[in-house]
Amino acid sequence: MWGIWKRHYFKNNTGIASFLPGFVMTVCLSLRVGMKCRRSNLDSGQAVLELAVFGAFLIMLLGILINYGLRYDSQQEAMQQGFRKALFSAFSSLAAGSEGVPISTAHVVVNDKYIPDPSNASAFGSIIPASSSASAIASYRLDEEADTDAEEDHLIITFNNNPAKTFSYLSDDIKNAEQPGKPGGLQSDYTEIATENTAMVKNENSSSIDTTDNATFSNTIQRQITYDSGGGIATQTVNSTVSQSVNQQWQTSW
Amino acid sequence: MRINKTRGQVSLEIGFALFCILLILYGTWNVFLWVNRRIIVRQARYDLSRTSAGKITSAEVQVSVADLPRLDIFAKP
Repeated sequence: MWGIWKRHYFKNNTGIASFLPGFVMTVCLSLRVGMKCRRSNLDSGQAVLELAVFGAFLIMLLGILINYGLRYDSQQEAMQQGFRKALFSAFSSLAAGSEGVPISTAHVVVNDKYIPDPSNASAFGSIIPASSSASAIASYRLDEEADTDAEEDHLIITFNNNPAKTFSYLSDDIKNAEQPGKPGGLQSDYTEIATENTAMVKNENSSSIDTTDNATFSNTIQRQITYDSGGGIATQTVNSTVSQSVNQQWQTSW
Repeated sequence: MRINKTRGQVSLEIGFALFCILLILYGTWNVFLWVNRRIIVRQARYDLSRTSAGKITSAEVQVSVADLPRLDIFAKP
């Protein structure tokens, strides 16, 4: 633009009267072109910034959708497995010779699944448990009571569809947790009471200072055990206490 | 000249970004279809095997996960 004006001015040599308007116009046009170029760069930067911001939101949204879909998929699998396992346990107990006594089986399935977490993109994959519980009753004589262990209600918990991680409980075990010869029942709640006492005594006499340090630590686990007392279900409070006492004495002579 | 160069760069960037966005959308759409197919096929097989699972003498009947649809993003529809 500057070259065009310079060639035009020196070629025609029309004096200062035509110099100023042409010069001003040239400068303005140059500035305009420069501003236009800078504006284009600004627009490009703005577009990149918008793409970065909304792209991040878009990718996070897609991650959440995939996460939800995979969770739903795992949950459906766990629910189907749980009910089929409960059904099989109930029918297999019936087939084992329970003479039609009610076999109520509750089966809990817990499957740990690796599902990507959109809130932690750098993680290898977060483990999300998909769990379900189902119960089934197989019987044609619902008024009978259980005579043997096999006829009792079962609670079975399976982790990751692994037979080695399958735990089975009978209702009798759960109720009679304190009964000799029976395994411990499910302990859902307990109270822990921990105390710590330290006492330091110093006796000063004419020859020395005798120091005695007594430290006592005690921890009590308090549980509510529900058991069958013969005349009905009773609840008993059981305290399990662990204590330790340390006594140290030393003498500091003058 | 500078204007045309900037415009070309912007067009190139837009073209590249659009390609990436469309690729992400295509992949997500295929993942969505894959999850849907798995859920539907598993439910159908679960319903079909209900009778055999309810028999007293039969073994434990579970829906096999091995033959469910696999994720293949660039598979032919």
